[in-house]
Order: sequence, then structure tokens, then C-alpha cells
Amino acid sequence: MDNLINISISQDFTVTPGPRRKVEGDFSGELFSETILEPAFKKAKEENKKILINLDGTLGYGTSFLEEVFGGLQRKYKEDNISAYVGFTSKEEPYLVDDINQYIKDANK
Amino acid sequence: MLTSNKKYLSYGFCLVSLFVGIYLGSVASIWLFEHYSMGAGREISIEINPFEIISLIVNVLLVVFILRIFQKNDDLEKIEKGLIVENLKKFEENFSTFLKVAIPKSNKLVLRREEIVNRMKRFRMEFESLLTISTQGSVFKEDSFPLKENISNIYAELTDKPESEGFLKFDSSSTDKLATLNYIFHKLMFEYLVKVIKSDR
Repeated sequence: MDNLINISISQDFTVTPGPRRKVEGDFSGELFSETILEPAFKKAKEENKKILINLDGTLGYGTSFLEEVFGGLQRKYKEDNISAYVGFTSKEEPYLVDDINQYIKDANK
Repeated sequence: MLTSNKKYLSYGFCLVSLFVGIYLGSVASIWLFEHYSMGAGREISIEINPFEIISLIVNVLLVVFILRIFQKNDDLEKIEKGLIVENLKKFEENFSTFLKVAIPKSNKLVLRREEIVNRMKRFRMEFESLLTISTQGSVFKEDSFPLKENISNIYAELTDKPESEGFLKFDSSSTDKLATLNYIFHKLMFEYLVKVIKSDR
């Protein structure tokens, strides 16, 4: 679909998502945000599109990675409701979508 | 539910058996009375319609046939419940063993973050699958929420940690909290198992 920006973490970034910050190790949430998610988010806002993030195909996520990426994005763009621009999909771990929505909600407080 | 249908059918079967029994008993009594009674002029006649007898026999056979089908389904449900309980218990044992290794003692770290994260993914996927299968019948999805939330909390407490050289860094408050969550996990799992065992399957 033309109004969707598809991102697959396993294919576009890594199959081994790392820690929260770049200083802690490789493939961190901070690195993913800087190099992939934030540029896509800005584009989505400008072009009125939605980002769909596929969470499947990795060896697993730590809470710190997910919270840094999605909670961090909400903290950075406090005036925006990022849920309006970012959606998630996972067949392997559908419960992650609930986890992430909670991180976004907590970051909004 | 199949189980309640089976109850009605078993009542039906009992009723049919009762009527057949009364009918056959009456016929037998009359036959015996007519052939072996010593009195004169005692005659009792009863009309036997063969079509009615055939109809009755067919109905009884139909009831028996249907009961056997439902009995088979009932056995399958019992086997399914047994499998679910067995797998839930295995999950509890494996998860518990993993936590014993993952939760550090005296700041001694054993597992790297990648291993913890990968194992947690597999555990959560397995658990989600078990919950989907077990929340049928009279075990509702809401019954599984406390257990699911507890495992999510363990996942968060285990993996939302700073990292150094691939190892997650825990402090004493984290290990205490994980120990508490582990205890709660066993308690909730026990309650959930009881619900599944008592469920209408």
C-alpha cells in the first residue's frame, strides 16, 4: 500500500536486537531509533503515511530495546500521538504489541 | 456443550430402557400367567404389534449409537484436558529451572543478555500457545490474565537492565523482586491448573 512505510526489524536492522544505548553494545534501541525509525517517522508525518513495523524474525527483544525505541520516540515527540503514525505486527509474539503500547502510554505520562 | 447433551441422552436412554423393561416385563408376566396359572376362565389378552416392537428396538439402537459417539467425544475431551495440564506443569518446571539460572546470585552472572532474551521469547510463545488452548470450555481468557501479567513482569524485570559486555547488570533489589515474582508465578500457576482441571471438558 502506498500510504504505508514498512519496516521489518529483522530484515532492515538485525535479528539480534541489542541493549538500550549505543554505549552498551551493538544493535541498540538507540541506534535503531536514530538510523531507521526517526527518519521514517518524520517522513510519515510529512507525507501523511503510517509506519508498519514487523517485529518477527528476531531472536528476541529485551524490554530495554523496545522501551528505548518506542517509549523513547514518544518522549521525543511528546506533542504527537505516535500511535497514530506507528503500527505493529507480529505473528510470532502478538503480546509484544500490548507491551509496546504500554511503553508508549507510560512515556506519555 | 457435548457433556450436557450426553446427560440428556443418557436420561433418554434410561427412560426408553424403563419403558422397554415395563413392556417386556408385562408381556412376560402375562405369558407366564396364561400358561402356568391353574385357574379356569382366566384369560388376558394383549395385542402385540410387531411394527411397534421393531420401532422401539430401532429407537433403542439409535440411542445406543448416539451415546457411543458422544462417549467417544467425551473421552477425547478428557485426553485433551490431561495433555493441557501435563504441558502446563512441564512449562512451569522448565520456566522455573530457567529462572534459577537466570536470576543472579551474589552478583554472579551466568547468562548473557542474548540467551536470556531468546529463552524468554520461546517461553512466552509457548505460554501464549498453552493459554490459547486451555481457555476453552469454562476456563475463560480472563482467568489467564494474572498469570500472563506475571510472566510479562518477569520478562520486564529480567530484561530491562543496563548491560555490560553482553551481560545484564542486576542489583540486589532486582534479584529480590524477581524472587518474589517467581513465587507469585508458582502460586498463580497452581490456581490456574486447578481451574483447568475443574473445567467442563
